[in-house]
Amino acid sequence: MRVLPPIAILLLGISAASGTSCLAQVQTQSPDPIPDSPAPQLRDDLVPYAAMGSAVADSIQLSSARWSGEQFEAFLTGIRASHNGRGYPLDERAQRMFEEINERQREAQTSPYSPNSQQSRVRDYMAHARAGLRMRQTESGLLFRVMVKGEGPRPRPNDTVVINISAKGPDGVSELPQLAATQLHVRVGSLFPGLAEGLQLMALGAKAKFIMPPELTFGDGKWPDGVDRGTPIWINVELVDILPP
Amino acid sequence: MRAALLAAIAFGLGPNGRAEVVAGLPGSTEVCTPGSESVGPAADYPQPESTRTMAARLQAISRSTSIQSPFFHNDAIADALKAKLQAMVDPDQILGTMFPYAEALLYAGRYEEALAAFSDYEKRMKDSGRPLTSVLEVKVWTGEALCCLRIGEMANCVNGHNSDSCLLPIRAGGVHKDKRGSTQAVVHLTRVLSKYPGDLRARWLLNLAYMTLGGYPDQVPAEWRIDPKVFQSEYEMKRFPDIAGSLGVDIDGLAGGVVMDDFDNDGFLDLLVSGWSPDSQIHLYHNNGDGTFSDRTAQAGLLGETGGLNLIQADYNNDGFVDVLVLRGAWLGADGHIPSSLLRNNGDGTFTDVTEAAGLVSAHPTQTATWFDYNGDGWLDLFIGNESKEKDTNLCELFRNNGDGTFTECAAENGLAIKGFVKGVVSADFENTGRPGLYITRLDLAGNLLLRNDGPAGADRSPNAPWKFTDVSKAAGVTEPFCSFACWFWDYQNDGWPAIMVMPYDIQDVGDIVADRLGLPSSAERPRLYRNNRDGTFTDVTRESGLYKAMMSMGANFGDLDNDGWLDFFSGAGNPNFDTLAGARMFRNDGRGRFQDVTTSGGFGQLQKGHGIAFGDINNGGSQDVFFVVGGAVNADHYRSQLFANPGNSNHWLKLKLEGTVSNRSAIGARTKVRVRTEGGFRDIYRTVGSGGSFGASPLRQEIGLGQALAIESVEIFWPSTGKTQVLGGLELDHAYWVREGDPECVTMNLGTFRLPGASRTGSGLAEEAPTASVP
Repeated sequence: MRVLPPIAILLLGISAASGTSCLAQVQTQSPDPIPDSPAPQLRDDLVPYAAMGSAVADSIQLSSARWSGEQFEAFLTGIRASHNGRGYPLDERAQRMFEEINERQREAQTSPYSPNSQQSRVRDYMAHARAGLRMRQTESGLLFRVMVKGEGPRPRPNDTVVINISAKGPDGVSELPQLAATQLHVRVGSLFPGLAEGLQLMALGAKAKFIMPPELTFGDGKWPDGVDRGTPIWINVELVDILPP
Repeated sequence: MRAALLAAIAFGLGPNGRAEVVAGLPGSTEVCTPGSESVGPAADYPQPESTRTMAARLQAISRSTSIQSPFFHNDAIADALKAKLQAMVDPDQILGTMFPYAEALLYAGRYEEALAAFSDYEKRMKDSGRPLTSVLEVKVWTGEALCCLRIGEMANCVNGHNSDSCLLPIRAGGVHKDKRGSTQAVVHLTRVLSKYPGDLRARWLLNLAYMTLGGYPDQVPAEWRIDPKVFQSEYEMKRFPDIAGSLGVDIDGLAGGVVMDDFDNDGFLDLLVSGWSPDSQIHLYHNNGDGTFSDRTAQAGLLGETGGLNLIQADYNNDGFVDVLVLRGAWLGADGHIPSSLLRNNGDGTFTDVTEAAGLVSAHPTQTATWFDYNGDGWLDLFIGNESKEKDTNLCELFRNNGDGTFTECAAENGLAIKGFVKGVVSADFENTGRPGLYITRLDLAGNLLLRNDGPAGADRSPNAPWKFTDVSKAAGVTEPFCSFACWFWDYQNDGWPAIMVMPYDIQDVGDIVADRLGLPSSAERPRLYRNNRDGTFTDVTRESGLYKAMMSMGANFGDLDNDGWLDFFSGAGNPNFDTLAGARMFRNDGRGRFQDVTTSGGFGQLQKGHGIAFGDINNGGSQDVFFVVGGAVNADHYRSQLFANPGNSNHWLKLKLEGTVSNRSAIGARTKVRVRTEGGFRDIYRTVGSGGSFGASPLRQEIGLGQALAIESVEIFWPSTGKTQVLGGLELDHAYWVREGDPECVTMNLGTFRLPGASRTGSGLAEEAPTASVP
């Protein structure tokens, strides 16, 4: 089983963690569209950073927002400003944009004619899995069962934990080694939403089985090679340790 | 905390003449000492041969209970481990044995020794160059804290018990006088939290420790303080003071069951209380009707009737006196093959163990059963839910009542030989067809069962014919939660259709309960409230009813705390581990489909382990009181039972004692509809005769709150065997009636009343008053 470096999990996590309501988006038409050009060549060590940016953009479906070049530059300015500790305040206009994006995404997800109609298949899958495998479901849709009970400390979002993790495809059999790791040191909040939530359900020493719907793993972001996009993922986790703050 | 114990639990290791006046005050007024175990010399009260035989059998079983039992023999386990340690030479072996030794000492109640052993273990590990892993560190440090907490609890809550002891949030008399234990616990818990600030169990216990020291919330470090709002009630209910001590019914024991009912038909509710350990004597407390109770265990011929995690009552032989079934062996696995007992009420103050003669010898581990007349022949049958586990199959049993004092086991031929780790069974006519079905909860992952009674399976319609029960669980949508415990049918909406309530039993540790209270992610299982859709299906309305809350429920039952006509419920919290101080919770039905947590305002938040629960009007004052068997599974985890006295309310009430003539005499399964006139128009209130939930038994007489009714328009009674509805008029508010099936009129019961005694030694709530008796 191949062990991914922590950064890989981190990256994958952030792509979905940004979710549908974390970043602002905007108008529908633009007289000055963003030029369509091939992805520029980058130095190899910078590629992960660019991938992270792409993942963030994918997660909010930026390509369908039809921003102007000017608007896009302003977006990047906001990211730089936030990175430097001087982020722009979220005013009423920005909040309105937020709501519009969320509404659009909700519509897209519920339309039977949209590509996201796969969601209904996922919902059915999750419902069957819940009943058939006797699992519990959280408000977010995460299915879980604590296989070995832990006790005492629970991880918090900013805690660094040590975990053993393995994953399988929706058939519950096919191993997904690209998502496996042992003795992985990682900050809980940096993981994709399902895993971050799942870990917080566990007490120290626990082993748990999860089935995560796609919106709680890689969502609309970049999916790892070999993992079918938009499918539920089975994940087994052992919470080995919670490191002192 | 305790892996071995948890493993044991998880895997099943755990007239025709009418009585014109029914009243009377018994002559005997002897009062037992609060908490007394004395039941009088056996020789003074000769017992029938059958009772003596059962007592001997139970005594032999008690003596043979496995020395390995993590519940009853921690002393022996600790001593054995100590002997092993003394003989060991290999350092690895010694280190591997020291932690279980410390835990055994803790659960044996040898707290000072345990404290030293935990400390010694940590030091030796460190000295050996193998510092504790995080998992072990948390176990050891928490173990030390628990030793100190238990020292405080024993010194104050048990030995210095008062009505505020261990009631969450701890206040007034609940604050420890001897502060040594909790003071040291704070030190140990602070140590845990300093290194593991996300330890919600330690955080909870720290706040509890500060409460016992009178330092909550101000002295709790801000980062670990639990906001007092967490304990705020959602409705300000008057406080129900615990008066068990004043009445002498605060038996100090372990987990057990209770039947609150009128065993001698004197109009006053008596108490029968059991403890689950095989050597724990059942106690009969006779309500003297004057504010005192007498322990009549010996006089009743019950000496030697030991054990029993649960009790249920019914008049199985239709003689007019309530009999009792003692359910034994639950949780004990291989040690749990203990016969349950059928105690026939002889009507003269005595009981006879008729288990064998009745054909009811059933030595399977169980704590749950239900009386119901499945074939409608007027004789109550018995369904027992047994605990199966791997390599120890104990199928559920159906005992058909032959009408001659005997029963015939017929589960298999009726499709009810169900397998599972069954923890709750209740019966009701949930489709209003006139035939009672069953709801069965299972602690394993097999899911719960709803079995519809479809009547005779073939052309033969005689009572002895095979019957057809159809599993409609999945179609009805009532299989969850997985890992279920107590359950009950109830008409919480007053629509005439029984709903189902199921309580959960699955947490990692108390931190899961805390997480939920704090709004953090929690793996704890939640209850389910299934509303009856009137078409054979149910809808899960847990969330909208406000009950989607993490609980670790054991005993549970329902009643009407404020006589508003809407059913409320109480859930005890139980688990063998000392750290599972989750607290009992009381919920009030607001009449609009939601339940309000009234634990704090009502004074119901008992932190110690809570089991059998019964709602009943102990002084015939019109409002229901609540008896609560408190005490844990491990023999060091004993505690005093409680009787929460109802402070009264301004609502009206009605008591109905129903007596079947064609239907079973207990009227179990009879449905009542009380129509009252209110300022807003007519209002219907529905009830069904039964003892309530699956863990604890309320009286079979119906105590019905009528709210702000102006008058009773009518009472309709649906009798299960005939399918006929009897309609009564002219009943008055705030009265009790005796209703016989088919009689055109009912009889007024002039029940004696008495004032409840003062709250307790430290007192809160009720004014201190001398008991007085009266017959209206």
